[in-house]
Amino acid sequence: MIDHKIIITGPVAAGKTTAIKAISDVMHVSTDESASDMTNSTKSSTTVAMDYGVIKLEGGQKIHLYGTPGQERFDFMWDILARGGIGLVLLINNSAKQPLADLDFFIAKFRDFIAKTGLVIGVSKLDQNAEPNLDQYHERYAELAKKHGLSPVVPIFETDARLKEDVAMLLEALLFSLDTELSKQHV
Amino acid sequence: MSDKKIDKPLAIAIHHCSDRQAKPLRYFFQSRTIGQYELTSNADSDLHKADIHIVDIDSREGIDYAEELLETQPELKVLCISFEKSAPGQALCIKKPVQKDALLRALSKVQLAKARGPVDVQKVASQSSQASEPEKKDTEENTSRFHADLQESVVSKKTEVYKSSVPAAVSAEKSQSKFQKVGEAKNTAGAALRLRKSQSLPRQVNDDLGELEQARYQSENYLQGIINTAIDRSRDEGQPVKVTIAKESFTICAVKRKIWHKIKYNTLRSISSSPILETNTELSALGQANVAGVDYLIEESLDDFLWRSSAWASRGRLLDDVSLNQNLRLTRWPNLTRVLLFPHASKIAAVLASRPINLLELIQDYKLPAYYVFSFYSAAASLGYITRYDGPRSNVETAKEERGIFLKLLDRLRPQSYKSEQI
Repeated sequence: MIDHKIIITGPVAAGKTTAIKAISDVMHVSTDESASDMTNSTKSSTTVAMDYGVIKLEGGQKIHLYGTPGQERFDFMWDILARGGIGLVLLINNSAKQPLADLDFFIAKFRDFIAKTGLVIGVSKLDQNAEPNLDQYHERYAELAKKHGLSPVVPIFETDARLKEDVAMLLEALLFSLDTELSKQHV
Repeated sequence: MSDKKIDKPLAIAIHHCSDRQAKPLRYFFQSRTIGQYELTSNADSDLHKADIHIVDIDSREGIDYAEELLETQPELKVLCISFEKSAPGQALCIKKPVQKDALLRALSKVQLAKARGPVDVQKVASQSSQASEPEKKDTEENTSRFHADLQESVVSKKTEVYKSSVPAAVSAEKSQSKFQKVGEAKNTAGAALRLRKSQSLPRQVNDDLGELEQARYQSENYLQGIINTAIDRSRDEGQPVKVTIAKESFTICAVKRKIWHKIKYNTLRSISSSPILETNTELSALGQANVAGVDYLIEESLDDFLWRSSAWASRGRLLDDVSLNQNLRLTRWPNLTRVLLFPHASKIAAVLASRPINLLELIQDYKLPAYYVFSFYSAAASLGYITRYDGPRSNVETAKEERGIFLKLLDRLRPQSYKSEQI
């Protein structure tokens, strides 16, 4: 039986761990450790290897959810985790200092993976920081897509990673983007 | 019904009329037609207790109700009222604001219709819409009464305070649940009248091109168009613009993409879905400082507000400005975690974002209900998320091995992601 995995990535404190907790059917596995670097100014612990969750499907199949660590020094993990993934959920923390720069960074890092699969972007903490707004994200993504030869239009949603329905909508949009023919078969 | 004595007043039942529309009608039947027509409230338990059923078809529920009434109870006499001219099937329709003489004429025609056979709908509708001078005066009186009623209705209800700290989407969702509960209560009360489907299904009009072509409207006549005009003005003048419609008002700031208002969810829905006379609308520029001084309770995203208003204005109808064969492309996805989410929105967005496609193909090839395709187009076009595309197209679709598992995942996600609303 072939299972599939979806990768959830993004900078520190974007809500990756929270999103997996929100949608996973099983007790989520985390490798959080006390933050000892600059991260501790934003949160007390941080993911150092990966987060893991599962969505169980009818017939015993599973969708595995892998959350990457946010810090750049763990980027060697990103390629390992992304291998065999069917799509990427990129969460951006809008209360960070330079969220658009984070977008640039992660799109560039995952460029090859996105080109082969698909991408949705969730912007978290827009309620804490209204700028940049979604318009600016769309504009910046369009520039990046042109630069990296990616699909010009991807779903970009305001996201509260604590809300199951927000995370579910990100995944639903990812699936319909990956295969538009699903529309013909899904009621 | 047919053996009713002629000297007995005919019983009239009114269905799906907003308070704003129903009050003048009730007043009219209670004071001006004594001995000829009288209102009945018993029709909820037995449809046949009313001789004539007046149905307001300017809401989805109203038009569904009229359709089912005509289909399942053809012996009943139905008179539709609407801002438009057409009514389902052979029903007679008169235009709103309802004019006294037009209403009396229409009631006589409906009364006689059974003996004479079907009424020539278009002819009578056209006669009814050609108002004489006294009728025009009547219309003006009706219009001002409607406004007074609207104001009374707003004031008389206990003001529901929305805390500005509560996210607008949450407030809207709460109001929506409340609205749905009220609707359900009404249905329960009219158990015998439960003719319309409890879950209003998408209307399958995609196999009838004639019907599709008729299902059109102009955004300028609706709140959707007024908001867009206000946005343009706010952008041009570099300051917020206050919009007043009847007794409701809101302020728009194009730069901040924000709107401030205190309009209740169902009131907004009602205003959005009905045509608005230009004369009832006032736009005025406000200085930035003045916005804070206005007693608004809700601050929300202008895009979410405009999306909602446009979807309600459309109600499955297509905007006048697009051909069914025009290739279109989505230039950005709507913010589906926050905007009013209606069935099939994510599918429609995904297909339109993936390649240039026309509305007809979306409906026919992807088996998407025209009702929602047109509503999506209306809302997305209103926000500038859709462009026309005249370049070359590629229709290559690759078979996905994962499709089976994707479908299963969608089924698992659906209860969470799809708290969508019938529009």
